[in-house]
Amino acid sequence: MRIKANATRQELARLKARIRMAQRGHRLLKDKRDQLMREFMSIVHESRQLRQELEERLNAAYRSFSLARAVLSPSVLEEALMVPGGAEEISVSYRNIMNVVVPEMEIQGREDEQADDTGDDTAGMLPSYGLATTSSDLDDAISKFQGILPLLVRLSHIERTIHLLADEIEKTRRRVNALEHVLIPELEQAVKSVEMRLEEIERSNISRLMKIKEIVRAH
Amino acid sequence: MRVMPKVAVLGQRDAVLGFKASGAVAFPADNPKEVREHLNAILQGDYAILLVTEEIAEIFEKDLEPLYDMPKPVVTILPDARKPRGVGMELLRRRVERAVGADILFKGEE
Repeated sequence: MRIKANATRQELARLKARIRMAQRGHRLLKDKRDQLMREFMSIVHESRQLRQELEERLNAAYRSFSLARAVLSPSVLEEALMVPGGAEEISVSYRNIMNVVVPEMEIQGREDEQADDTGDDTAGMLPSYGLATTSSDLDDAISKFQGILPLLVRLSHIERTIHLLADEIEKTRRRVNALEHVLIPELEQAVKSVEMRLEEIERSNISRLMKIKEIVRAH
Repeated sequence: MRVMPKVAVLGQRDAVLGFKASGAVAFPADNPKEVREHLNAILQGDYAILLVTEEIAEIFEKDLEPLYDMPKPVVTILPDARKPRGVGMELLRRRVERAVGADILFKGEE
C-alpha cells in the first residue's frame, strides 16, 4: 500500500512529522519489548527448573501413596481421606510488569510453619485421620503432597506470568515490526516522492522563467 | 471473614486422592461427563488455581484453552503419576516459541 500525498510543502512537513512520530514510537516499543524479554527470560528458566523439580517430587509422592494404598484396604483409605485436610487458602495479589498485570499467589498462613525448612512432616499440618488404622506410608505420602503444594502454587503463578508476558511480547513485537518494516519505509518513500515532485515543479518553474526572460529580452 | 480462594485438583481418582488430605480440594473424575461437571463447579467456585492431570489436559485441551486468558483460576498441568509425558513442558515450550519466535529453551537438547 502506498501513502497518497499531494506534492505540496505543507504535505511534506506533515509527512516528516509523521516519520518522527513513528520513529519515536518505534524506539519506545523496542525498549518495551527488550525489557519484557528480559523479564521473560529470567522467569522462563525458573519455571523450567520448578517443573522439573515438581515432576521428581510428585513422582516420589505418588510412589509413597501407592505404597500406602497397597498396604491399606481401600475402605480404610477412603475413610481416612474422607475428611479433607483443611483446604489451603491462597492469597492473590497482582504485580505490574511493563503494564502487564500478572498474578502473584501465596499460600496463606503457612509462613511460620514453613520457617524451618527441614522437610520433615512435623512442620506440616496435623493429619486429619486416625493414626491407629492407617500406616506410616500414608503419613509419608500426605506429607510429601503437602510439601509439593507450595511448589505448585509458585509454578502456577509463574506459568501464568509467562503466558501473559508471551502474549504481550508477541503483540509488541508485531507493532515494532509493523513500524519498522511497513509504516516507516512507506512514509520515507512518500517523502521522497513528494520531494522529487516538488523539485520537478521547481525546475519547470525555473526553466519557464528563463524562457520568459528570453522572450522579454528579445523584444 | 473474607473467603479466600483455594486450590482445586481435577483428575482421575488415584491421582487426586493424595492431594485431598494435603490442602487442595479434590475433584475425582473417571469419565468425561464428570470432568465437565466438575469443571463447571470449579469455574463457579472461588478457586485461584486449578491443577489438571496431563491426561485430562490433553483430552480437554479445547475446554481448557479459554481459561488461560482468564484471571482465575490459573490452570496448571500436573505431570502424570506413572510416566510424565511432558504436556506441561510442551505448553511452556510453545509459549516461549510464540514470544521469542524461536525455541530457545530446549534448543539442542533433544
